[in-house]
Amino acid sequence: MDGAIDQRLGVALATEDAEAEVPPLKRNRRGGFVRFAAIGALLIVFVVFAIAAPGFLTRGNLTNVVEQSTVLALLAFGMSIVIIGGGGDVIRGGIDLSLGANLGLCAAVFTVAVNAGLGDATATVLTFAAGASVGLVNAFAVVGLGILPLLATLAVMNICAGLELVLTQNTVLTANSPLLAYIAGATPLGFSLTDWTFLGTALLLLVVVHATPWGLRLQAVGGSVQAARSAGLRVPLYLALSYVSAGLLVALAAIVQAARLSGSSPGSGDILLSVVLTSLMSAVFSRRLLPSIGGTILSVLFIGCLINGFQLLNVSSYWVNGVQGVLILLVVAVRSVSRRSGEV
Amino acid sequence: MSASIAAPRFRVTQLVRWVTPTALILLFVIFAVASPTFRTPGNLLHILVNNFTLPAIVALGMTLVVSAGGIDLSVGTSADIAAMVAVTLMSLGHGLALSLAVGLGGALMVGVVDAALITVLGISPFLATLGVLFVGESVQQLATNGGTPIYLVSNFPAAGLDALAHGTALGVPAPLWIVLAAVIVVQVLLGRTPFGRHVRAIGAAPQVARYSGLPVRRATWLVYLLSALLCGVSGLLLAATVKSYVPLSGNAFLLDAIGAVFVGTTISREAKPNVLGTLIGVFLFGMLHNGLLLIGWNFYWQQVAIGLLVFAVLGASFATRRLQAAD
Amino acid sequence: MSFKARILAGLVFAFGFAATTAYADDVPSLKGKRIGITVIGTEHYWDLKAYQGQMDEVKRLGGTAIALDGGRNDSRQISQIQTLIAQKPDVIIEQLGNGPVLQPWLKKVRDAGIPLFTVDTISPHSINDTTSDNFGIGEKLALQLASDIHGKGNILVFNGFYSVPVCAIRYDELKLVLKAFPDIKIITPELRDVIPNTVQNAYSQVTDMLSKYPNKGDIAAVWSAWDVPQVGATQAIVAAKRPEVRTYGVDGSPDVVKMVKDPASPASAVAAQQPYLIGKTAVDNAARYLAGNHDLPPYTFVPSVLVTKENAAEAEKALGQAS
Repeated sequence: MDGAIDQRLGVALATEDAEAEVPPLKRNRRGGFVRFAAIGALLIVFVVFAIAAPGFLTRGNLTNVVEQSTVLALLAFGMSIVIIGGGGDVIRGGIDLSLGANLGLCAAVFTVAVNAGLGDATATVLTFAAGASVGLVNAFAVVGLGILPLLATLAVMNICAGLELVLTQNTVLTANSPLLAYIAGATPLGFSLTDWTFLGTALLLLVVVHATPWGLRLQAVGGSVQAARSAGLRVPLYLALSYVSAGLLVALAAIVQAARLSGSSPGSGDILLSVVLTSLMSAVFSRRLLPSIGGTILSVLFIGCLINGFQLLNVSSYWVNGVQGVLILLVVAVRSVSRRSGEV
Repeated sequence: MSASIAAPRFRVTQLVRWVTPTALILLFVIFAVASPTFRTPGNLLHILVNNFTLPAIVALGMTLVVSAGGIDLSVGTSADIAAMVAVTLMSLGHGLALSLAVGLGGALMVGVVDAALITVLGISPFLATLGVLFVGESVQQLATNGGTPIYLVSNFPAAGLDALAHGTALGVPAPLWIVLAAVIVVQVLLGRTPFGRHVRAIGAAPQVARYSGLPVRRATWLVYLLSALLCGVSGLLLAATVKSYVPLSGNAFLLDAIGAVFVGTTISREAKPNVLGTLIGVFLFGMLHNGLLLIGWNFYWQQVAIGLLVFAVLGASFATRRLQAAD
Repeated sequence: MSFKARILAGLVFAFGFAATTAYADDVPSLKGKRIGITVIGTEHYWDLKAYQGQMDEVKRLGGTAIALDGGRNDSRQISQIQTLIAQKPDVIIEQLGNGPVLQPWLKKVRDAGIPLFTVDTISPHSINDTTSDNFGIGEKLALQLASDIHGKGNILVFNGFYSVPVCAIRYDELKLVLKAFPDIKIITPELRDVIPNTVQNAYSQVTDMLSKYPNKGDIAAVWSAWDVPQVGATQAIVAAKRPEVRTYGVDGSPDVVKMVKDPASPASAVAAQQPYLIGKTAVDNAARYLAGNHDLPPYTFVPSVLVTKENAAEAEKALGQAS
């Protein structure tokens, strides 16, 4: 490793140490306040919509919100895992900009496979293989070649978007298959299969990332590479797995999306910025102010409720992006201001 | 460190730094052989004017921001706001100078918001500028009734605007003079002033810079204001080139600008953002777009090829750097 | 010549018809009714005018509009439709978008018992689709192009949005017409029009191609399925001083009509639609349906007009664009 990076890492470690010197009690209280403020904001938004927006609190509408948020949630889970494993530094930390383009590619793979008569099982396997391969390429670039994640995944994003064009010839491809029909139509226990996918994945990842040795080690790697290395963890393996997991989550999201859009449609890459925003915002919902699965669930629902509530209140969609941006900045500002006041 | 170790390491360092320029030259030769049009002076000038100028100015701003350890995702917003304000004023019949100046003022406002969010509220640059990007989309939609383009094609107000994009001075197209000016400004600021030293210090170690009493806040403000200003210039040039303002056009430059800055870091010994590297990165992207089109590749494959080539260049240079580190 | 005469006759007929539709005011009130309007995007002249036509007409008839803009993103539009169904408006009007993606969701609208009208979207679930005759638009534009370049030459084609059904129809019609003109060749690869930054991107790509084909006569014309790439292409041709290359497009934004009117501009023709009237007509149809008229035809075609150098001045006035 060259001098500059060593120096930077040294500084990063020094900063970590400085943070660690804060008495645990005080630190918890600070994190607790921010988390409280963020969850409070979520609750206020929820209550306002419940009172003002007609039909917001109905069960049908709330399950719609979950359903509409599922693709974003799955991708944001992937992003959060990558950030948890790679660390939160803007430039050198973990990030995966290829998620959106990979979503388009996987949906195209599934659709093309179904249309080629390969059957649902084979198509599903191919889709997960495609998602995982993209994750592997990212992992190879970041871990094997040492390219900055921001850059490596940017190049991979272009490759995926191009391959999607090649597969679909830039058209909407319709796919009809028993699996897609089942996902679009089935409602076990009164909830759509998409809702169940959200719920199931969320629970699974909550356990895997926050309660298994694997997850805790992943967090350790993200916290400090050097500390993790000296503790004997196989850092490259964990980093690589974080990108591959993200790729697998993308494949799952692609099948959900294919069911919603009856196939594959250009423009999936647009979701990227929302994914980045959701995942980074998840930090304000977690005790340690780092991205987490629980935080991601809350921030996905926060954004989903906002968009849905605005529509129910008949606010012009031109305002939605802006208000969303301002609210998110507000929530994040609460976090950083309170963090700073803790420092003094 | 003894001289016997330093000598070979010096050579490897040189090797790393040459990966990107070598790739650039290699691709240039390949395109020149494959397409007779590519190597004509007219086309090379066209690459510079149409595929290089606009992203280059944006990327120069990004070079400053990344040098200071930040990132600016709102570059497209600054460019669009400048174009929106200036074109609106011109379509209402105001003069060229006033319109352009107020347009740049609009871009500066975006920089003010970025800088305030980052320095006053302490939001991370990534999130702050991402938020501004979202808000910027709404502002443009609301201001243009959902995104109606404003064309200056007919009843064109100012001949000066045309000269800005299509005129020449001393035989060199005006946009290239503007890039040259931007290059000099950024190079001098970054390389020869106390401000530049502070920026680099902040980029290397923000805490250390703060504890050593450097004016971190002031430098951060300046960095985001300058970035917004440069993006504003790029937005005005875009408006002048196509004689119109089309809402939300600026985001097209975002990822190329980020890519170019980081590709550019590969030619620096310390892997730092630098002006020359950024320019090489932007030129590489522009040349790829132009060359692949001229050798007649289908646009589906153009995008794959660009991704693969950038990946290969990055892979080669980062892998070499890693080998060097392992020495 | 009969070709030109036919176009002129078409023009007269078109605007005569338009005038009668526009001022016939037998439209029932929408008082107390909630009208859901979901559009794929509003950043283009056509989209915006059709959308405004609907909004203004709903307001004029005393109804309340729930208006949703999908921001050119299929997933977002579908989520909006899903929520809209839960809001149970009296009627839903859907404008443009990707046909195959929308169909199952349009079916859900009908399954929920909400009457569905569409603007420019062909769907078996729609009670009435108000649209331009895109087959006619594509055919007329292609014939004009072929006639202008005397049935001979190479043309550049922007084909980035074949996924949008109306663009596909226009492109397919171009191909069909070109079958009759074997001496007109589409230059490969075709070009890709993009969103965002459509104008500058088209400008840059056309400049590239003009330097690839540097001689007068190498390129006869540039065709695009809408008129924003045409703006960029036209300017690139002017900047490269190759005014013999003609440009063709669809939609008829006021500035493009002005470009066609300018005798010196390479912009030779644009098929102008009447998006505002299309939007207004769709709302009128919905109002009639809600008032009990269930005999509406499945399609209402709002006339479009091919604007050329010859008729641009008249067309500008007839389209209500003259300043």
